[in-house]
Amino acid sequence: MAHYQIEDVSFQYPNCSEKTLDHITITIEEGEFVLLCGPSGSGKTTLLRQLKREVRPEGNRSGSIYYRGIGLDQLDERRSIEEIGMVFQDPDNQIVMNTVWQELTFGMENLGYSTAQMQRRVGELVQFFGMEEWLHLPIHELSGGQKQLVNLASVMTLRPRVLLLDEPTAQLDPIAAKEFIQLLSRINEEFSLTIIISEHRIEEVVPHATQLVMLNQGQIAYLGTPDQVMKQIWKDEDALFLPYLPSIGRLYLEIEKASDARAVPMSVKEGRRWLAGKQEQRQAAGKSLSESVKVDWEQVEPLLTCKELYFTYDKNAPLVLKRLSLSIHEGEFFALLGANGSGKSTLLQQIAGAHKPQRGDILYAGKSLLRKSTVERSRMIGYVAQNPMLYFTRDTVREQLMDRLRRLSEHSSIEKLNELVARFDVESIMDKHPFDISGGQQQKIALMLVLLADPKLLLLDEPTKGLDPISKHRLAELLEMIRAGGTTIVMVSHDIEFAASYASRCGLLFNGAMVAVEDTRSFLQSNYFYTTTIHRTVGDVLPEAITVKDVWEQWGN
Amino acid sequence: MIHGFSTLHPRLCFAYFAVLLLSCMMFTHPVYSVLTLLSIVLLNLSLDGGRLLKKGIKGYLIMAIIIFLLNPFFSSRGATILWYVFDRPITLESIIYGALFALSLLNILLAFVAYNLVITPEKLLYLLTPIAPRTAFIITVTLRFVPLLTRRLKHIMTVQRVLGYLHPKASKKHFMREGMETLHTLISWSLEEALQTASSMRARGYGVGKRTSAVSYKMDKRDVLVSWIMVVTGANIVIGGLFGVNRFQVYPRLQSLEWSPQIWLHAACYLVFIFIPIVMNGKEELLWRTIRSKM
Repeated sequence: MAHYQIEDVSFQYPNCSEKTLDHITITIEEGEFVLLCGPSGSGKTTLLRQLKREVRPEGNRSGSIYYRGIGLDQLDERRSIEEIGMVFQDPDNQIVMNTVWQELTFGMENLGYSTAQMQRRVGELVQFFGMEEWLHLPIHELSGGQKQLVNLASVMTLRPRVLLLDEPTAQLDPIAAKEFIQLLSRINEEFSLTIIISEHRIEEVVPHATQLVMLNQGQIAYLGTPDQVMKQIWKDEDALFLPYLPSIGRLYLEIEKASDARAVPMSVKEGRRWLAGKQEQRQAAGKSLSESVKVDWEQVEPLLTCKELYFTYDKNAPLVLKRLSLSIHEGEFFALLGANGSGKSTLLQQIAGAHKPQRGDILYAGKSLLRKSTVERSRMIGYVAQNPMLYFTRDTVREQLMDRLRRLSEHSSIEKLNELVARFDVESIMDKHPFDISGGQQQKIALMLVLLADPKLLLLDEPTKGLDPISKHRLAELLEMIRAGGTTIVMVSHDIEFAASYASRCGLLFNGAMVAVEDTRSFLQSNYFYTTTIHRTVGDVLPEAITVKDVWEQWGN
Repeated sequence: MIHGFSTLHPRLCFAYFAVLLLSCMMFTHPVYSVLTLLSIVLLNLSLDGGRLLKKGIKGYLIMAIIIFLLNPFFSSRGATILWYVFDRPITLESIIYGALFALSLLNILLAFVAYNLVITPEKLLYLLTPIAPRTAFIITVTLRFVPLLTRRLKHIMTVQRVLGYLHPKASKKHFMREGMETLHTLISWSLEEALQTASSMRARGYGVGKRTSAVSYKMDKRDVLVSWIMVVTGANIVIGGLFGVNRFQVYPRLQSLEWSPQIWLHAACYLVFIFIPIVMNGKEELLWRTIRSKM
C-alpha cells in the first residue's frame, strides 16, 4: 500500500482567481525521498501543507489524499500528529520554547507522554543528532543551522513515518545546508522514513532523491526519477526548468546530448569518472578561452577604500574586523565571500554607516566617509539587507515607495520612480501589501527603495538567499542593468556559482581581514575548496574553466 | 559550583526560602536577625563564592544605612530620650528600631540574591506548572521571544539608520515618529512570523490534550531526610512565632534580652533550620578538600 496517494488534488485560496494546485496526482511509496521543485509561487508549499491535516490552509479543495489507504480526514488525530512530521522554512519562527531541551520535549508534552518516556526519547535522539553540547542552551544562542537541527529533532521525537520539509535549508549557509541534507538522507536510509522535501538547492538533494517532481503554476510539469526528469527537461529545452539542472548534469547533457542510456552524473566524483573516459575531448583542450574585454581593475580609480579597519561590537567581545583593507573600483561587481561569522555582513554595514569602526578610515572618492552625516551617506551608498521585510512600514508597495520619495524630497523624482517601476516590472504588485508578495518580489521592492536615492555604490547582503534559480537569473539581469547605469556593486554571498557567473572580482574574508582579492576567474582557479563544482570536475583538463559556459566554449562544436 | 543545597528537590528549596523570608519579615529579635544575616552571607559565599552578592552589596548597604540613620529623625516614639535635635527628642528605642529594621531589610535583600542562585527559572516553572500550567507556558514562550524581538528590533534600526532615517542629530519629535515606524515594522513583521509559529505548534499537537511536563524531580533519600528536619524545626519556628515566644519589644521601652527555656528551644530550631544549606554545602566542600588532599 502506498504511503501517500495524492489523487487529482486541486486547491484554490479564498479571494484568489486562479487555482494554486491544479489536478495533482502523485503516488509515494514508503521510504521514498521525494524532491519537489519549481519556481516560487508554483504551489510547492501549498502542496506540502495539504499532506498534513493540522497545517492545511483554508480554501477550496477537491480530489483526495490517502495516507496508508486512509483518507486524510478520517485519520486519527494523534496518529496524524505523530506520524506526519513537518519542518518549515524559517529556523526561528517554528521554535516555541526557550531552551533546546524544552523545545525537544514540546511535542511530547502536548501529547501527554509520561516523563520517563520523554527522557528516554530525548536521550536517544540527542546522541543521533550530536547535540549534547548545546542541549541546555537557550535558543537565541544557537546558529541558524543548529536551530534547524533542533526543529528536525523536535519533530523526530514523535517518531514520525513521514517528514514534510518546506525549503528547510533556504535560510542556511551552504555548509549547514549540506549537513542538514546529509542528516536527512541518513534518516531516510536508516529508518526508511518517507521524506518529501521542497528545495531550490537541487544540487545537494538530487543525489539522494528517488523521485523528482517539477511543479509549474500548480501543475506537475515533470515527474519521475531524477535521471529521467533531467533528460526530459534537456530534450524539451524547457527554458523554465533548465536553470534547475545541477551544473555537472548540465555539462554532461550539453556534451553527450542525452543520447546514451547512462545515468546523468550528479557528483564531482561521478563527473570526473565520466570525463576520464572521454580522452578525445582532451585533445581539443588546447583551444583557449576567448577573453572578453578584460579590465584590470587595479588600474581603475578606486571608488571606495577601507583603510585598516578595526571593529568589535562590544568592549569585551573579540575583534570582528582586524586591520581590514580593501579597495572597490568604479564600475565593478565585487563579490565578498567567506565563512559564517567571518565578518562579511559587518563589513558591509560598516561601509553603509550603521556602525563606526574603532580605528581606521573609509574613503569614498578620496574623502573620508566617517565625517559625513548619515543622511548624506545614505544618498551615496545604498544598502540592501538580507531580509527585505525590514524595509516595509506601509500597507501597500506604492505607499512604501511614495514615502521613500517624500523623504528624499529633492534628491529623487517621480520620473525616477516610474522608470524604476517599468524597469523592474512591478506595476502588477504596486497595490498589494508588501508582505503578500513573493520573496523575490520583496527583494525587488527593497532594491527599488534603495535605488530611488540613485546611489553610486550599492551594497547587497546575500541577495540570492532563498531565491529559486529563475529568480536568481532575473536578479543577475537586474544587477547587470544597474551596473550598466554606472553603479558599482558590492555583494556579500555564500553562492559561489552565482559569483562565478556574474561577479567581476572576488575577495575572501577570513579572520577579520581580506586574505585574497583577485578577478573572479583567477580567484576561483587558485582556490581548492572555495570554487565551483565545474572547476573541481574539469579543473585538471581545463584549468581556466569555472562555469558550464566556459567548458562549452572550449569544447563546443 | 557546589552541588549541595541547589540539587535538593525544588519544593524543598522553595519552602526553605519561604520560611527564611517570612522570618526575616516577622522576627524582630536582634539575636535572630544577626544569626539570619550570618547564615545568608555564608549561604551566598558557599553558592558562588559571593560573586552575585558583590555586585549588589553596595546598593543594599547604602539603603540599610539610610534607613538606620533616618528612622530616629522621623520617629520620636520611645521612653528613653538621649538628646534633642532641633527640639525633636532622639530616643534610644527609635535608634534600635531603625537598626533592627535596616538589618531585616538587608536580610531580605540578601536572601533574594541567594534565592536567584538556587531557584533557577526552570525550577520556578516546574513549581508553577501544577498550579498554573498556562501561565508557566506563557512565561517560557515570553522568555524565548524577548531576545528574538530585541534582535529583530536591532536589525530594523540598522536598516533605518542606513537609509538615513534615524540619525543622532534629529529632533525629538522626528525621533519619536521614526521610533513609531520602527515599532510598526517590528510588530507587523513579528505578527507575520507568528502565523508560522502557530502552524508549527499545531503541527506538533499543541492544544490536543492535557500537557505533561518533561522535567521531573523525584524525592531521593537525602530529600526525605532534609524534609523531615525542615518539617520538625519549621513547625517549631512557625508555632513559636505565632505564640510570640521570641517577641522582642522595642517600643515603648527597650526590653532586655530574656532567655526562657521556650526561647532556647525556638532559637535552636531556628538555628538548625537556617543553617541547613550551609551544612549541606559545607559538607560537599569538605569532601572535595579531602579528595584533593588524598590525591
